[in-house]
Amino acid sequence: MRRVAVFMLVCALGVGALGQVTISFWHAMSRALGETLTELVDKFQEENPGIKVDLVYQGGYSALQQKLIAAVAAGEPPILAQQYQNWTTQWLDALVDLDLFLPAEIQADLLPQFDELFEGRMVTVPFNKSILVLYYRPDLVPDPPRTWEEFESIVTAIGKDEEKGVYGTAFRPPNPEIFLTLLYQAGGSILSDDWSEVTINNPAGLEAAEFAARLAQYALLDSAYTSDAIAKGIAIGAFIDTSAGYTYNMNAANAAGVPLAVAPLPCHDGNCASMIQGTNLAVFAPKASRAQIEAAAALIAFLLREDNIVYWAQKTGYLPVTRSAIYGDLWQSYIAGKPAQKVMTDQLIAGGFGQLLHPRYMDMRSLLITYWELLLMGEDTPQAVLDALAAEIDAIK
Amino acid sequence: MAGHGLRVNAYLLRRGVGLVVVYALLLFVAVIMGMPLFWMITTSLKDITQALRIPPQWIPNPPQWGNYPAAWNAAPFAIYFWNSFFLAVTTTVGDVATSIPAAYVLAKMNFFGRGLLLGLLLGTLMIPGQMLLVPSFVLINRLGWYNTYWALIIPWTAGVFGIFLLRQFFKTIPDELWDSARIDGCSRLRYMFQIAVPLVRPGIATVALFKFVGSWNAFLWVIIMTDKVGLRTVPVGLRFFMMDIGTDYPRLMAAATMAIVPVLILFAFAQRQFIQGIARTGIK
Repeated sequence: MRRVAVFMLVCALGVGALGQVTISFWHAMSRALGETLTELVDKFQEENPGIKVDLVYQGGYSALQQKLIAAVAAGEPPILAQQYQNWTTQWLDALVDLDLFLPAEIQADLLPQFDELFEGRMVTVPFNKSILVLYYRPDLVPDPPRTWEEFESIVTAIGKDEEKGVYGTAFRPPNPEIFLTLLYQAGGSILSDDWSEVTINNPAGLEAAEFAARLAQYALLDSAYTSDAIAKGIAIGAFIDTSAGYTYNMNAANAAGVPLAVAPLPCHDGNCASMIQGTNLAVFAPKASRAQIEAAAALIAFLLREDNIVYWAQKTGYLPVTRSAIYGDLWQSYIAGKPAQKVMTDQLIAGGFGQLLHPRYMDMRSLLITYWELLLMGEDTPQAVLDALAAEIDAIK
Repeated sequence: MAGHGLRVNAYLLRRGVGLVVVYALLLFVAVIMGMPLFWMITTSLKDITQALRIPPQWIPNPPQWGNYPAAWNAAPFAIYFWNSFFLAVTTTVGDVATSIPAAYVLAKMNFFGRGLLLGLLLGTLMIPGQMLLVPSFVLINRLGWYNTYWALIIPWTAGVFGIFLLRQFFKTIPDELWDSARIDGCSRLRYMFQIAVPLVRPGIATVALFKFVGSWNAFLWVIIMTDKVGLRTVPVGLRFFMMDIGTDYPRLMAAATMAIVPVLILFAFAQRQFIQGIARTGIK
């Protein structure tokens, strides 16, 4: 910690000696999330009077992505931006190697789940991260399922009654991360380790797809957030959703007057993998001076500091991304009386995995969305869906 | 005489029944068309549970008037409203001002390549706007207009839609009118402004209203071309209520209700001209 403090002091003194350094920070955090981010950035500026941060809300993730594409093409990107990992390959060459600017102590403090290198380069750091967990109705599911078999038997028992608004589970077709979680739990993967072969349609993939297809027969399939369905009074036995949606799901359940609880994901043959979601921070090189890059690195280091990251997690529902924060007293005492947050934390530590860091992952994800929907809708057999998906991935990998 | 009276009565009855049927049909269509507006306004006064209830709860009980101040305070809406109004007015004036002469020329003046020019202009309508975002951003940056009102106004002061629409209006004016005016010594410019333009007023109102609404609703262009809160517009403020993990419908609808008020006022003033314009061009 001392070295981090010294690093930040040196940064502050360094930029201070040259006058005030201004860095732009583009993000897509609105309402409470945006307010908390603003609070932290204000605190950073108080601690670092030589650095001014222009925090700019860019109207949501889709608009932020389009603006970043345009800005990078024009050679006018911001200094710092929030971004999904799957955007990285679009502008990899424009990103700063953060390992050169962040203290080794901070890099080593990141949880191994976030040890993500693009072509051997550390170009992003995790920021607002969530994990998939199981939400369930204790009145319908007294004991949350621990295995796929238990999950399926519960979902089948609750069944599906559209007239009464009762469903065993729920899936969001635009969210293929659920399928990837099942795929990884079954021991499968999108590509082989050396990326030379598409493996998504191998027996493990088929097992995951068949499992999802069987559950889908009793599922509410809706692109809208599951919290919307809950608020409408629709009863869903148990469903997989992101931990970031906790507040919304609980508010919806409270509004509908029904209980809702959180449990670890059901595992398959002892594999409890769960896909991490959320965005990272990246520093863009094209227009940045050395002082600006150092200022951006100082802000990242500040945001990853234990007290700040725990505060961020408490206020937003995201999970801490560093060892010092997640195992530290601040977070551990916070979750001690909060079973749901404890489940999410344990899920991240035990089974969290990130996205495939392939240059064409973004295109692969688009394909995954299409075929995940086909699978859920029962448009074709799981094997046929996977084979078609594999062929398309093979063409772009 | 009695037979004549009976026939008159039968005629009046038939006419009355016909009117009732027509009005019932119109009322039905009006209800269908007005339903989303009604839902928006009533949802702006509901809490989240009432907003999402199925079947819909049409009347908020109790009305949540606090949604309006909460929505207003969630983002700097005073600035956003001013910017939306300023941009909508300036781009509408600019678009109408450039569309009129361009449309007149394409409708009434013969010159080499007129058809090709019109085809090229119409061809630009086929290009999705999002494809133009990156080159537009590059251009705006090179012009030094990034983060200025210029970026939000100048590119929108000319549009193919307005030109094409007004061209169709100008084409309906008989050429004999120009012949007569010319005999009386009228110049082309004076004829256009003093005779032709007043005849296409419904078309101008239609173009203006479409432009105003389009500018009022501008979101992506504003986000891409600006960074400053002081340059952002109402649709950017509406995005505050839509997060990646859920949407705050009651406050979103409260903000949306406030956002459509200026457009409704404008429509109320331009209603007659607008409907004539729609009827004459067949725009839907």
